[in-house]
Amino acid sequence: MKHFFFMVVMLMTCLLQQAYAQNRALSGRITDRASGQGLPGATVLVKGTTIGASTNADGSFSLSVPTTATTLSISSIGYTGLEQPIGDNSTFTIALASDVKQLGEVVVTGALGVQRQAREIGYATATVDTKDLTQARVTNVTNGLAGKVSGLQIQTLSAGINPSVRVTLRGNRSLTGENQALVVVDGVLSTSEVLTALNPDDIDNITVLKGANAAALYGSQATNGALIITTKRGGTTPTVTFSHTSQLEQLSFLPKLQSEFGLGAQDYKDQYPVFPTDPDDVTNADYSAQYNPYENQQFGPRFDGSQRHLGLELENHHIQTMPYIARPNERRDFFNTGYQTQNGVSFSGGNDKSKIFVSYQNTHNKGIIPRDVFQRNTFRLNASQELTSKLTVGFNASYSQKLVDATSNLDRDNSVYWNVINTSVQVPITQYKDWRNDEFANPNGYYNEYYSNPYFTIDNNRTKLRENYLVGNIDLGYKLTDWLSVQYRLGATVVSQSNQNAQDKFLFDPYVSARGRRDINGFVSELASDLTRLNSDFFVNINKTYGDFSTKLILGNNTQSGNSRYVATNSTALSVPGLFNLENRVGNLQGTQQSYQYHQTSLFGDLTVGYKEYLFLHASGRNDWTSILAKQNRSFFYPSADVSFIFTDAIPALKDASYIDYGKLRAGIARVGQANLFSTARPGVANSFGAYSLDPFFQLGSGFPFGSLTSFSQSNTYVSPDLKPEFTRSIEVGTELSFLKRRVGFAATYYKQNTTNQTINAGISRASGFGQFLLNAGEVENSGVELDLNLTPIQTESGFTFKIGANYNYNQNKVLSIAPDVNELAISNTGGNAVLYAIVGQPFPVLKGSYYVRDDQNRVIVDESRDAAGDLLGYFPRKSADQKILGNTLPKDKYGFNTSFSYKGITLAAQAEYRTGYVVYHSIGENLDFTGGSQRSAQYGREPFVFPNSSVLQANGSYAANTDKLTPGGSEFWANAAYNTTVAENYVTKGDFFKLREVSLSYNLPASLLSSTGFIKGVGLNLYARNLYTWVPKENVYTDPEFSSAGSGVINPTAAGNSSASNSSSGANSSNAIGINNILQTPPTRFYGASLSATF
Amino acid sequence: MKNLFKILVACSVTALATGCDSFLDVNQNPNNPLTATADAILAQSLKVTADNYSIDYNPYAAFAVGEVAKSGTVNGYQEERTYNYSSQYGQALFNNVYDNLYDYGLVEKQGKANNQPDHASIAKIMKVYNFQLLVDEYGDIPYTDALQGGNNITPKYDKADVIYKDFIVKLDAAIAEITANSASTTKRTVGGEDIVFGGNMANWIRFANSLKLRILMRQSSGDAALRTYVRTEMARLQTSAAASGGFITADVQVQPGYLQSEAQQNPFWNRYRASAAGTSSIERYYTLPTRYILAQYNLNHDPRGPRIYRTSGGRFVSGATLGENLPPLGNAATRFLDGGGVFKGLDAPVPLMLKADDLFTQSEAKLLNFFTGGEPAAKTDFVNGITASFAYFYTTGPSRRSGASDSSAFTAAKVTKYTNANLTNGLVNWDAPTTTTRDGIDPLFATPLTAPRTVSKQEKIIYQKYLAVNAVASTEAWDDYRRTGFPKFPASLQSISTRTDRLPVRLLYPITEVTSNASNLAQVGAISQFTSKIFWDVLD
Repeated sequence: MKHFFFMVVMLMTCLLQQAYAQNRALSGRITDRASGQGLPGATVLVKGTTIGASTNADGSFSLSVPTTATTLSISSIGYTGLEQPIGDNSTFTIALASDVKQLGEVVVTGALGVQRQAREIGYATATVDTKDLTQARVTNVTNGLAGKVSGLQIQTLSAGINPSVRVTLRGNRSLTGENQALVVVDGVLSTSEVLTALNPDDIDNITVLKGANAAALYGSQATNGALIITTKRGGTTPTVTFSHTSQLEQLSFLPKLQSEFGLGAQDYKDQYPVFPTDPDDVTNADYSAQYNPYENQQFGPRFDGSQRHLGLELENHHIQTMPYIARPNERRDFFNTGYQTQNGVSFSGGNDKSKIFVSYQNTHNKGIIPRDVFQRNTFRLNASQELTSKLTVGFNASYSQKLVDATSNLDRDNSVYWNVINTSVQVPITQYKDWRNDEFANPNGYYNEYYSNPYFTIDNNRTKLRENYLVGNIDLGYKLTDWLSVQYRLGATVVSQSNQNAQDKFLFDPYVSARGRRDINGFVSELASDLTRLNSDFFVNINKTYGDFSTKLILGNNTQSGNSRYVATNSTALSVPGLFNLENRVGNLQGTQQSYQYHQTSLFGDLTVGYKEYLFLHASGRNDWTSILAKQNRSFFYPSADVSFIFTDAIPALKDASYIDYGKLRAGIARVGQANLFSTARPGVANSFGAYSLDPFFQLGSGFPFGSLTSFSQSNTYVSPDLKPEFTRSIEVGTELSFLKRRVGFAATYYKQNTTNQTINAGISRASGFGQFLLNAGEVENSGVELDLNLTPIQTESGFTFKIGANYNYNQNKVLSIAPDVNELAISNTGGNAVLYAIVGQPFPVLKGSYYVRDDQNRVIVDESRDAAGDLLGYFPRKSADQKILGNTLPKDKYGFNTSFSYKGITLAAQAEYRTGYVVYHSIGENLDFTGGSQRSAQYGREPFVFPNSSVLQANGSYAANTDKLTPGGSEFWANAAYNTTVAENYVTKGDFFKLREVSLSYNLPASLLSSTGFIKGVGLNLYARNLYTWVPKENVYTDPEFSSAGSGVINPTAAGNSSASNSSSGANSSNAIGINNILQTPPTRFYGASLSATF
Repeated sequence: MKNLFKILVACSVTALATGCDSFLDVNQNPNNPLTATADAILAQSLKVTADNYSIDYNPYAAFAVGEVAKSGTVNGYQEERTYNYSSQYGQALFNNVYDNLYDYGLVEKQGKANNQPDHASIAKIMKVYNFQLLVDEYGDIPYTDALQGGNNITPKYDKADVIYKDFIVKLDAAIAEITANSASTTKRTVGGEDIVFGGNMANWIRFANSLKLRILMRQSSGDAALRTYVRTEMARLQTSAAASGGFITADVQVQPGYLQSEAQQNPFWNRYRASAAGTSSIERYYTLPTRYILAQYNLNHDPRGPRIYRTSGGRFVSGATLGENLPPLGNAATRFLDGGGVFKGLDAPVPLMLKADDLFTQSEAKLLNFFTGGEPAAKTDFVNGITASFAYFYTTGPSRRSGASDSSAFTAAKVTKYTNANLTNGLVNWDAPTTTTRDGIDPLFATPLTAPRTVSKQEKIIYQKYLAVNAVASTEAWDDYRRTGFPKFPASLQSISTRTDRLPVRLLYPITEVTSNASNLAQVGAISQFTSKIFWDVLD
């Protein structure tokens, strides 16, 4: 690899020198007449020759021409061509006007990297170019796509310095298999992890192939649609671009918290004195008052400003005393303002035969949680060369390294966010930073007997992550004749990761441990994982025209191989504090390792027949052979067909109509097979590829080996002996229209996808001896509409342009069947109060949870409760014994909006998104009610209240509206699992949101100003904000509804409070289980930034 | 260049034509074995049974039977305090046992197939042991259709009483197989993977006999037909047991070689006392002994009390009452004594059946004339049962061996002292008719009584068994209570039970059954934890 790199660099250098050796140098910039922006990819030719160049990213070019040359011929797709006399000028600024008739000639990068004109394509695609992608300087490429393409759902599952993003197109098809879109980088199948490692500035464009139709050629992985990422190529003008971005990150949203009541945990607190009767009582060990200075629960008395103790007395008899008041800003102040920089440099150059693009970017991110740091370095080299008139060689490679040093958030008790919001509003939390020296911040003296000082949590629980990504390919193209060419492309994605999780040991002073405080053991765990994917494509392109008929045929072979492994080891506990090494341990080493391999090969064919450039028929077929299925099932074939009709070209009356520029009707049908074997999340970047799923196996018994005694247990999944691929049948019809000289653009698509014969990991009766059954069954239907409307209301000759665009996707999905005898399939952990299910006849996934029992008028029934002595305790709502459906958790309706105003070099752009038609479960609500920190738990001032819309059973068996029967208003109700915190309906809210995702104001300095400098070709300034404004319904007082614990690498905490261990739940890992968020997720943030780029 | 492409094309075509199969044959699992023989599964199966019995069943039952209450250190245990169960409560008791049973099923199948007949017989006995746990908490359960993997993912429910009868058939078969194979010189014998008896098959027969006794006694209060059946089977058992080595001769315990390392400690110690790192377990202070159970030791002057629980100045500090508003903090109140009768140590074995338990059951069988021998024989078993219980609670874990000079060691004198202190106490002394204690207080109600209460012989047996299984095999006490109504212990103050004793009678089926085996579950009918009793629970 190294040698190759060196060679290419040498080669490029030579070629560039060659270019300079010619006679006369011209340079300039081609711009869009309307916007004044540079036009990349425009062709500049010396008229009547093949001497020419194409413009680079900012529209500039330079060219050496013979002294005899008189005229330049400039062309660009979508623009009217122009001829420019050379005269004596050596620099040019040439503005092109857009050509209203040529929309159909827009080039779309389709499957295999083969470029097609839009008019040929019979299915829905969308292209997002670099400008739109990076206008708000995202660090993660996918965030730049959010809301910009109809049918594409980008869901940011968590905040923090290294957030996870889920990318789906047109809903969820597979119940327990993969639903995320395939990621293809420069023609090579890659993995979704790579998205976080790409430098967004390296990307030229992303084509979104929305459905199975579009992707049939990419094979089974593309059932879910695909993101085709094309990175930048070199231009013909040597250009160096520097860019710098600084941005601030700010907490945008905390749950609504009460600020009236302090520490205390008494049920029926009115039975107790408000404060300890002896004001000098420093032990309060008898728990005798409403106020309890060392509690984590916040059901104490109302703040009154008097001087009160906080925490217990220390061994040296020191004790904190402070006014008993609310300090409502403390929790917000705990979080830092994050600061992030991106510094990049790129070089682009070449001539008409060879092109090179080299870039480097450093991203440095200090998050809102103190000490959290993220760093990414990315390097890229893209080069291509026409070695002969027939042979072209291309080489793309990028290397990135991600370094993360963050708080580990492994479980609730060691989560920073939890420890912050679980701190009472009376506590001046920001005073406890110095836990090593401050006796009241040190765990031995911290006020809270049950939970840690969050500053201590930060220092004591660290995760250190290093990931290396190498993504590259070699591309050979050979033109045998003018109608026949062959191409070979070999690509590799190599990811390696090493990760250390460590917790330091902390031993409490005997004085404190005598009270029952548990020492912290400390541990260290090491994870090494890697992933290698190789992808080889060999294909033949045959393009021939017979009279009015054009034909394009592709025949090829694709071969893939994947290798992956992980090794995880951990120590039971640390021996010596502060040293995080496996050898510094107590007890035996624990360790696991797994390795995976899969191979796949395919043959495919793809034929497009065009008639008179207005009617195109396209059909494809592909056969896959995959290693992960049994021999008799491993081969499967799937076809697709579509048609595109440009009626504006076909109907003479329309051809010259002034109101319509372009009109296309399209329709397609496809059937794609996918060996979508269930694979639970693997540690690190390891991926099982679905390998070895067919046979039940034995696993080492828990705790074994005991010395020389080892023993095994049957795995918990039973596998159908005859597993086959699942198939998705997709049909779509649509239209693309352009009116009024491209001032109005409209596209619409209707689609319907049925995925049958699913590979389901069904939860089955445990009495079968197994927990899951992997079988083929079930059908899910997704149907929906995608609409895109783009308007240019104002476009003046002076260069003022106002554009507005909207996109809309309605997706209705429905589970049609699951398996014989199975009508429900839990896809998240069943231990929780709210569980995600696939249920026949319902959308997928749906949330089920416990609820209050209601009478026939939908009033909550409250029951009288008495204590053992027969005294009335109050009236409590009745919790259901079962669970009911509380709603679907994927939005049915998604709206995207974008607008821009540009005048000369100034552009103001904004992008927003609105999603609706779904619900979210906030498990943080359970926790907040349990601790009494929530606003909800204080809504009745902690006084007895009449439960809203409730009724009471009468002697005659009927229910009468409750007007005077009181429910107790303290912890006996709000912190109570039986009546409140385990009732899921309490914490379900609409998932609706409106987000102003991006606002940016950019200014490109006029070329005229810069040309005087001679060497600066462009300077751009950009001020931007992301997530500037988020609207959620009033009922959602918790967090960003996009967040979800599943699939985000966040492990579910154990059940609410310190509840009985028999209720504890473990992590939910099935990535389709979207819709439940938890307290391990740091709160949502917004960003403000500025960037400066200069081109030389 | 043309040649290069020719080669490329040729290569791909060749690869596809010839190399395809070998290219795709890479799906052999390099990570896990796909098969395992009976001996490679047995130890794990036995260890998991110990885990389930010790830290799923035992803690649940200890709450239900009034031995344990929540401390003031936590909020939680709502279901335990109110008996307001849901289908999400206690799922492990159902799910983990079936999971374990499948492995025993494999041991049985593989053992038969691979000339390891004794492994198969052990598995057969352990299947009965585990299925009985399920029936006693859930009543009707999947049995004949169960454990068939994907061949039957919705197993139907069998009637609890029919299953119970099959237990006897299965145990008889296991005993017959062991006997038939005992002379075999060609079989592959059981070795160290038997972490209960170390391959001693005679002991397995004894265990099977004791298990039969437990099963028969539990259904002995049924209707006339059932009583006739029990009587016949008991008579047959007494004869066959005598001929096959009798009943268990020591506590039946699982010992894989527990040691101080993650996942390798005694499960009860690990959950309630200390992690492998030596620091306190999360749940160490979450629960406390009830005031009721502490009163039993106090008022009977029972030396096992201070052996099990920590004392201060010779007295217990404080227990808790289940459901009370303000229980004492876990660290400030009475808790298990380190190295004592329950927290024996991180490497202590886990009991599956205590000798004392078995002796008390034998005593009851004789008292009720299921076994011959009458009251005198019943008394002998009763007295021996108390001694066996002392011996159990005075035994420490291997890492805390006590010498003869150690005051914590078991001596017969300790039992004598106990008996002598309770000569008139009918709960301790077989021959004393009433609850006349030295302090004049009935331990069960802990209030002075002017007129001591009469104690039946059955009550004293069950009462002593209740003390013998306290905190280590509470499941047996809970089953006995539901069968006999003894001893009378207080229900939670927050009970929502509608029964006169304000207690539940069973668990609800887990949510996994509700969602994935609904149609079969519907056949069982609506289940309430307060009214849907197990078939052998007939007293009230």
